[in-house]
Amino acid sequence: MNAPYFDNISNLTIPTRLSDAVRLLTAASGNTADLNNISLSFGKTSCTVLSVEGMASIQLMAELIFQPLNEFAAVPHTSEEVKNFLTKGSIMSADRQLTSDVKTVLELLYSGFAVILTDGCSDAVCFGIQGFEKRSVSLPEAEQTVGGSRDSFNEALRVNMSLIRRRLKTPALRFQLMQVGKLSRTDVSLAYIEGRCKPESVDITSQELRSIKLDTILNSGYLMTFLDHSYSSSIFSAVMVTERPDVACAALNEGKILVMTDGSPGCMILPTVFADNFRTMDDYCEKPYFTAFSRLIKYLAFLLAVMLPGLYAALVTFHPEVFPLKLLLNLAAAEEATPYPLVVEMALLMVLFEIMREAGVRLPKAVGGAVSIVGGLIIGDAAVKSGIVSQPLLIVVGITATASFVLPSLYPAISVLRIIFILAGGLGGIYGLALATCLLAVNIASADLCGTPYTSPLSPLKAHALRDLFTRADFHDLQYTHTTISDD
Amino acid sequence: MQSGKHILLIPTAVLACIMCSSFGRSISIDRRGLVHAIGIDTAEHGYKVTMQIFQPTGGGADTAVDSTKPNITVAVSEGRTVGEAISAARSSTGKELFFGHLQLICIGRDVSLADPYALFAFALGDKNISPAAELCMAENTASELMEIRLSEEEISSEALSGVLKLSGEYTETVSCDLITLLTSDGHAAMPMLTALSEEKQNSSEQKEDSGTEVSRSIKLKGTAVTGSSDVLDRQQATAAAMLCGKADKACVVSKIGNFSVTSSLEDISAHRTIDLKNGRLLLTNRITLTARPDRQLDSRESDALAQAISARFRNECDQLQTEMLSRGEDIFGISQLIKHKFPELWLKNADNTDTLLAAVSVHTDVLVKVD
Amino acid sequence: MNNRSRLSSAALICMLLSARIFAVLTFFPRSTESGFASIIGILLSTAVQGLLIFPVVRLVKKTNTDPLSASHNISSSLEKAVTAAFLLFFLYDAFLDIGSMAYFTDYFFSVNMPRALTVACCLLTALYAARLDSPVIGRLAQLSIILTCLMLLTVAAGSAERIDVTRFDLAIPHVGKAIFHAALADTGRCECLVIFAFYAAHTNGDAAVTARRFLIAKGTIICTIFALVTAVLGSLSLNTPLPVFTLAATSENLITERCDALFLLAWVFTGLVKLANLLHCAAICIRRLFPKATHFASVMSAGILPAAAALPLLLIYKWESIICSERSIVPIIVLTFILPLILLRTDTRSADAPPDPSVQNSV
Repeated sequence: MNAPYFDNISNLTIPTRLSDAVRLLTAASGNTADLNNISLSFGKTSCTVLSVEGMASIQLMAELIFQPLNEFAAVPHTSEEVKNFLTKGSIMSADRQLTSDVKTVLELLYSGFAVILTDGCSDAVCFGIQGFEKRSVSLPEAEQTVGGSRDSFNEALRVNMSLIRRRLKTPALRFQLMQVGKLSRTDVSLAYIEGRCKPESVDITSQELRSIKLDTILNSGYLMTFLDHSYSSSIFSAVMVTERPDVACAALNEGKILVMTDGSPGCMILPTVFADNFRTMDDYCEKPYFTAFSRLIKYLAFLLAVMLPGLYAALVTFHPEVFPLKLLLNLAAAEEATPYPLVVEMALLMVLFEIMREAGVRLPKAVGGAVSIVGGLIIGDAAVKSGIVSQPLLIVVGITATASFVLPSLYPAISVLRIIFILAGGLGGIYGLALATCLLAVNIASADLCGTPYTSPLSPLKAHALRDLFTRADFHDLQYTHTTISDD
Repeated sequence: MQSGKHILLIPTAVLACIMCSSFGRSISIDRRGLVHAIGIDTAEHGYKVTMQIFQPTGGGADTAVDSTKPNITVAVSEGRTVGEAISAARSSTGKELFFGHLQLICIGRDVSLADPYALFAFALGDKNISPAAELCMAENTASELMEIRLSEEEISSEALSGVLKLSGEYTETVSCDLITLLTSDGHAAMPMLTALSEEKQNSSEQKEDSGTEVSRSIKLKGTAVTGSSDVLDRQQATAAAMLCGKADKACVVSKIGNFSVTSSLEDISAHRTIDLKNGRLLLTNRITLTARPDRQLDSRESDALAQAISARFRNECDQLQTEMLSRGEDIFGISQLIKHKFPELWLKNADNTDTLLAAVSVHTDVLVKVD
Repeated sequence: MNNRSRLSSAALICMLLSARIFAVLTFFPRSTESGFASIIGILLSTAVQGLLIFPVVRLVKKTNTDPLSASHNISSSLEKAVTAAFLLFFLYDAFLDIGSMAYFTDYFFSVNMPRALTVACCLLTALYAARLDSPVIGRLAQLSIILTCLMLLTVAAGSAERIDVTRFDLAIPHVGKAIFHAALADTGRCECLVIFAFYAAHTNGDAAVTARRFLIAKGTIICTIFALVTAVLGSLSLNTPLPVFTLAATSENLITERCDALFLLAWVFTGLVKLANLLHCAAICIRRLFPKATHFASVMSAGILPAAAALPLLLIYKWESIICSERSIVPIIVLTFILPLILLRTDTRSADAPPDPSVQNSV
């Protein structure tokens, strides 16, 4: 047993003799220092309680394991009586499993279970008394809303599952649990609502997850490339990650599938469509007219963030006739004094902005404020006054930057697309911009996951779902007709 | 199945093509000469072209255009055609001339408009020149107007266009653009501008600085009719604008009893029909307008005012239209109306359209609502 | 074929409209004498086209197959001949499309891009789209139609005050002849009918309903474009090389002085969608003729052939002669009317029979 993979011990079972069993398990875990081993005696029958330091709760172990066992140990018992007591005669934990497979025992040990081995019995009784340190349910940091709930997923899978179960008290909600990662054996849960989502989508997703041969799964991002078939070819991802349970539950209601990873606060939703990036829970807390306004602002923000710099460069360089006269004269006067071509100025400013943004993300909060001051001074005032860049260009970059923060989920795509459009528009004019737009449209239109095109419900057109595209469907209507990603 | 990563080579190749082909070929906006106004005169061997090109005074990265300065430079060149003259100007200015914002084309008095398509071939052949560019005629030469540096707006030609626009809005003249001229078989009315010079005594403490300063400006002289030497006066221009459907507002003074009433006319609309009665074409113009007098009038006075305004414009319109049509000068688009309503009749008289137009009987109804 | 690779009716209509609208947006037929006569000619031509595609619709209803599969049922040599005919048509149309895009890009844009690179850019972008399934191209077509409609609305709104209905006149000699020529010219540019014949059997909806909706939409949009150009520009539209571009240049609104940049965006997008569609269809034909070829290889060869044919003419500046020549209606009549009629009469299979291995779309 040299390789530290469970595969090498997959066929081993627990010996009947207690000492052999303890020796086998200790050796299988590599004599690791965090494996605790406590022996108990019930007359002629001995027991050993195994647990991993820091994974099982000491308090629960004392209350639920040792106290009942101590009381039981007052009278001598046979191994069969001990096993019956452990499996049927007492309630020591809601999560109780009986197994003789060494691999399963080790997985449960490392999942925070307490394993009780009984001499003369080849089955190990495992009690779920997890007590590892985890972050409490806190405010969502990346997806803030005004009217929505204030809880978010954390790194504990079971907690995340409970946050969903709490909101959807329906027997149709199903969870499938599996271990992914040859080394990490990370718990991954698949959640869906029976009857809402397509059964074949669940099967395909489950198969994809089970076929992953990575060593470790430390983040939901590791799984994304396996779940999203167009991951490497598409700019946008057909899998969305959310940290909000309410968003996840809304997705379940629409017939989507959730994939939650233990150790990662991000819950993956698939399949998503392009329009999902423009929806927030606030939309369902406000009146429809404001929601419509807010959605249009978001769509406009996306267009501005991606296309405004390239469009500006294209129009000023190749099609100045489009501008109103007064604006054109001011642009021409402003560009008169700058040394570089417009496309170089634009690219320079965007790169500087990205550097400032990265610095702001990585720096500690105490120092972060200084970045904005430096950025504002360097990029803003000094660059314009020294004639390196022109003022209209600075306005364009400012609008672009602000617009890109409206849609945090699309920020990676927006950042890359923006540079592409600047090059295409600044060097190729409207023609280059049209080519880039066409390529982007092809990229978006070709993305497809679980039979749902990324451009749905606009294309293919689903009239009943369109109302949720630019505005919010009225809740009175939603009582009678429910929109899912399927065709009906 | 193609690998997703390999497929991304295609968009990369497209981007590379764009970068390779266009890099270094783009023209920065500061290297473009933005031409806003063109003046066309006849020259010894063809045409003389005078262009106003945008030239900011004291431009900087953080400064806007100084609207107290004219901000133009004037380029003059000659050629056998207007297009050739423009090409010659390119090399003299050292900038890539850009006509995308050409607002005004000024034609000298002596330029013949018998074949407008040939004259404006440079505009039709250049995709940048908008067919909606305004046209005007100079009382003398167009170059005289182009060389005046006005400083009421950011650039000189904006001031020129402003004068034309406002005059057209207040029905002091009939506005004309390239589309109108080219679609009207060479017959159109357009504003006529003239250059004014004012001498001002410049008194200064420094003796050597005092002297006479000449400031130049422009003024609307009247409305020129292409194809003839006629210049319509203001009243005729108002009637012409109403008949062409280009009237927006106007101001008239009417005498009612013993007093004069100044009325501003608004909501002017014109509708015309043409019928064939007893072998004769009858053109009926129906003009409706709202008059707002400058004083309170009772119902009798209002009726009198309405009748006075109606009679005045009816007479002026009938007189002008009859006179113009008798000379074959269709500045009102009646040919187009005949073509639309009676195409066979037009085709039958295609070689003799002047006679056809002269035979049109004109009747104008003016409905005035006094507010 | 499963539902996943079938086109929706709306997507097919948009693909066909993209093909037709691109031709109109580029330039009007040289034989146009009067805008109003052209409109009447187009309406007549649309009515005639309804009769032209009747055999296709009947064939689809009867056999649930396209002409290629229907010819396969009769004999393999007939199938090869029919496939070759369609392939040649699509390649020729792609040749015209690539050449027009490169030729008019020189005129429309100030980019000064060498023609060879313009061809390369168009070709690569179209190949990027053509390698995908037809439903994906259908989605692109829907986006292009939405963009085109927005563009037309913006241009119309900006030119509204210049509209003069008296510019619609029939004061031309030989009105009947002008209308006839206009109808012929319109039909000659309707390669969308051949594309309909190719795809009609592969849609979710009823072919007859799709055809009717398509013809109504096409007639409406084309007539609207002609009407707008005529009402605003009048006789000037016949004297400018590119009337719709000129119309866009005269259209102003509160934000922009001219709408020609928006027009150019819509024009390029629509042209690329049309080219992608043609290359996709040609690739399918190539795979039917050479079953061992992969889809990507078929798409590549379908793209390279017309581009290689167009490039020499573009580089020696002889493309003008191609533009000026009238398009023949014979290929369209043969492929959409005569051929389906023959197949309809000779194919004895019914719609209930199991479908033949049909067009293979995916890579």
